[in-house]
Amino acid sequence: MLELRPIFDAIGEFLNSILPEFWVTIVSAFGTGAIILGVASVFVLFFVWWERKVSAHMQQRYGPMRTGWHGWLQTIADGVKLLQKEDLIPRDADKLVYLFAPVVCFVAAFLAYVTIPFGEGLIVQDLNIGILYIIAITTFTVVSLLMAGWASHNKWSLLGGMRSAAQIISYEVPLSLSLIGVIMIAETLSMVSIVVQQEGWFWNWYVFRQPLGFIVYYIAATAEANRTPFDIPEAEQELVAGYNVEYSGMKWAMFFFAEYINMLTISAIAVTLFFGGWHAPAPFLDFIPSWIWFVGKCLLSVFVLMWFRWTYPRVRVDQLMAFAWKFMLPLAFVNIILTGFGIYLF
Amino acid sequence: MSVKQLRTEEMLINMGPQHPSTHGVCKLVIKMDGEEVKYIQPHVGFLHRSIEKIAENRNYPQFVPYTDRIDYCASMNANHAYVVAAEKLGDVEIPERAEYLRVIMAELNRIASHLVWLATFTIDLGAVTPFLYAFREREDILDLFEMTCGQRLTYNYMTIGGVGWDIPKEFEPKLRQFLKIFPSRIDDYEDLLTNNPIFLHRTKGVGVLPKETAYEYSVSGPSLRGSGVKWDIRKAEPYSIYDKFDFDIPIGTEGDAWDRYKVRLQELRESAKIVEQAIDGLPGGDFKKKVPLTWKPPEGEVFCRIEAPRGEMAYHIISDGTPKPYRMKIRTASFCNLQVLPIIGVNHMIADLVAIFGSLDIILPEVDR
Amino acid sequence: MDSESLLKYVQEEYSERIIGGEMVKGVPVFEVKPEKWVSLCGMLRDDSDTMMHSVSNYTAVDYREKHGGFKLVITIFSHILNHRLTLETLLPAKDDEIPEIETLATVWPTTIWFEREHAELFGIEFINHPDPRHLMLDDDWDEGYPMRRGWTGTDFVVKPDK
Repeated sequence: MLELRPIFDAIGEFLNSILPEFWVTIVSAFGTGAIILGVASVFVLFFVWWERKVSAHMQQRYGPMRTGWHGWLQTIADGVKLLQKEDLIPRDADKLVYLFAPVVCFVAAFLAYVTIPFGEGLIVQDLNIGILYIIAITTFTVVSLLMAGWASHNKWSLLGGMRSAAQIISYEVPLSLSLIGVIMIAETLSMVSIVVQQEGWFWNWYVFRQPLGFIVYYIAATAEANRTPFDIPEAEQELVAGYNVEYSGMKWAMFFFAEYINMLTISAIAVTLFFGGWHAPAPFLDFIPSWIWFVGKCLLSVFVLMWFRWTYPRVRVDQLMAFAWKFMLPLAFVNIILTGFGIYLF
Repeated sequence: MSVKQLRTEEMLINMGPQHPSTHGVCKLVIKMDGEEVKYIQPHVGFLHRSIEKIAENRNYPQFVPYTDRIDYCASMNANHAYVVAAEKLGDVEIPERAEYLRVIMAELNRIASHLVWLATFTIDLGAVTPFLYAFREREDILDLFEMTCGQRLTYNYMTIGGVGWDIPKEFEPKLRQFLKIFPSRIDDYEDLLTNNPIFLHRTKGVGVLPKETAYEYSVSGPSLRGSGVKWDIRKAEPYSIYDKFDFDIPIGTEGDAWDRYKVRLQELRESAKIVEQAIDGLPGGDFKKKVPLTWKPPEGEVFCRIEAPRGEMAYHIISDGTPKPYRMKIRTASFCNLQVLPIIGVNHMIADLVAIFGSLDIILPEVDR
Repeated sequence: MDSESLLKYVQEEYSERIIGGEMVKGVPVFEVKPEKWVSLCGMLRDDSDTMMHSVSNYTAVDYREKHGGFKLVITIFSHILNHRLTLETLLPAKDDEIPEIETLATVWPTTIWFEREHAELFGIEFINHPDPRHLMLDDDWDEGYPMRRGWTGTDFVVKPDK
């Protein structure tokens, strides 16, 4: 009814009828890129406002109230403010690396959206190695954080950069391993095929067959996205602001943007792999369009991430590493072994 | 490159004066080996206003507002320390109602100060929400103070000879309502923090302050009691009317950050108990004895100490018989407590250093004066 | 030990190190010979009858006009025995002279900061001090010793009473 697929199909047919094939490819590539960028930006604007409201209400205050209805224009006002800010580059910074760090961070955050199915048929490119691609591309963030930390020529940034490198690489291991259980059951790496397999009632969702895998994934993903209780690379009270301490204006905003995009990414992956993607929890609810289900589940997951952040203290860097290698990694392996047994028995 | 050619270097870092976790302007020069802190050197004095020199040029009653600025988180206690010392110097008898009002205000301010500590300590550990919970209760106390003396931070409430203003009639119902809900609010903090595994990991065994070190460095207040020393000047050398009230001195066992946290939370309950007893027994009558601005205490000297929220606060006043003190030395708890930071902070992670700094409850204007 | 017996005990036990002792507002106060200052403090700390292992306050007073020198006043106490006493010593000094005395840092490490403060604000030199830097003032402070009586600086002029 309100599915978006037919609209995009119609646009595609229209383009095909007026342009040669080569140009159709170019236009659709830029078009989808623009759409993804636009949609994600809107989400980020919303998340920033939403996080402020969520945290405020958890802390018995109102949050932004003055700009628009319940302060919904606040993020836009902040954006305008950030655009006007003086763009400072430290004198001793490595200028090229310093300039490119936020760009790399920003691009890496967006590239994951190529293989995420937002709804039935709403996917940029259904790669047959979808999961592998996402794992590979999200790790790119660590490069940008290291670049930022090193290029700023600031000891606090350097510490933040080193911390983020250690943290993200460590948590990448249990994160990847936690997804193997799903891949073993699904016998495919394609995101769309995995979602299709979870059709029907909600007990078909992989979270009920892979509870351990989901828990490991979710904790590791929280660490990957640098969210409290794992936000040690920017630990404000310890490292002032970590890797982005020397950044101002739009460069800083790009890091910030990427952080919120990452939050959506890990939620989208969790929803796709564990919560049935665009499927409704029950077949009779199918009249609601698939993309609404997908976005709704993502928002719920993002809310949980916010809930974590405003409840827990921050862990210490050595505890964080110990947790990854001594607890999460064995748990991920146990999950793989149990999944193997399950497949063998049933 | 062979392994032998690889080497590591200690990194010298200036933590502060504009670092978010130094609670004011303090500079810690630290040497780090990776994440581990190997050497700490505190630099203070950024807030030095030479209040002791100012004191030599002010009349005795004029100096009360300056005591507010020594410890802005617990101005009432700072007032109290000064007026008790000055009255002892001049043998001033004050009305009983004034003593009760002083105790009520001092204990309420102790609660407020500990709440500020709790708030900043949890924020040092990265938990932002308890910060605002603690400030919610502090707000109630500040409302009570505002109702009484019109100020919210620097009260200038106690005067030599009594207190500046009597409490208004709305004060008592509001205070009783606060005392009724406050214990359940402390339970809330405990639910959020005390047995939270992340919180336990961050504080248990961190910054252990042995009893002997605490003695040597004259650590006082909750930081000393966390190390298992049952020492509270309110009990050991009762001043004002503290011998009339029934309360416990909570102590810790290990002397780590968690013990200091636990002791302060217990003290919140004990202080609330004292306030309740004081408001129940509040007598009528005068709240103030008139002391002229050119009040001249007899020649002599006095040393008087009280238990402020951060520990021992003492005034050593030397009078030469004129309306101005000949010399006034202010001994503050943070001045001594900060000295142990280089001892107990080394060989910890930088994140722990922040936690230890927070757990000692240092307030910088008190160090610098 | 209560104050009376503490006064008697110290007067008898350490008579060759002190000049005199009296009760001031319920607390024993002893005048100590400057050359015995550190040794007496160490003994009071180690004596099992006094156990003065903590410093409550440590101050310097400018008595150049009245007594012809600076006085160091230290108030020490015991957590365990719950008693305290005050020790004073006079360091003779005239005008701009800088008196010297052995540091107390070896007895109570907490006095390190107190002595740093006295050194910069009063101009008293503490011999063998482990950390003789400025504490409160700038490292390049050159306007004399602010806590001395009658000091005036570029930003500090005492106004006469109205």
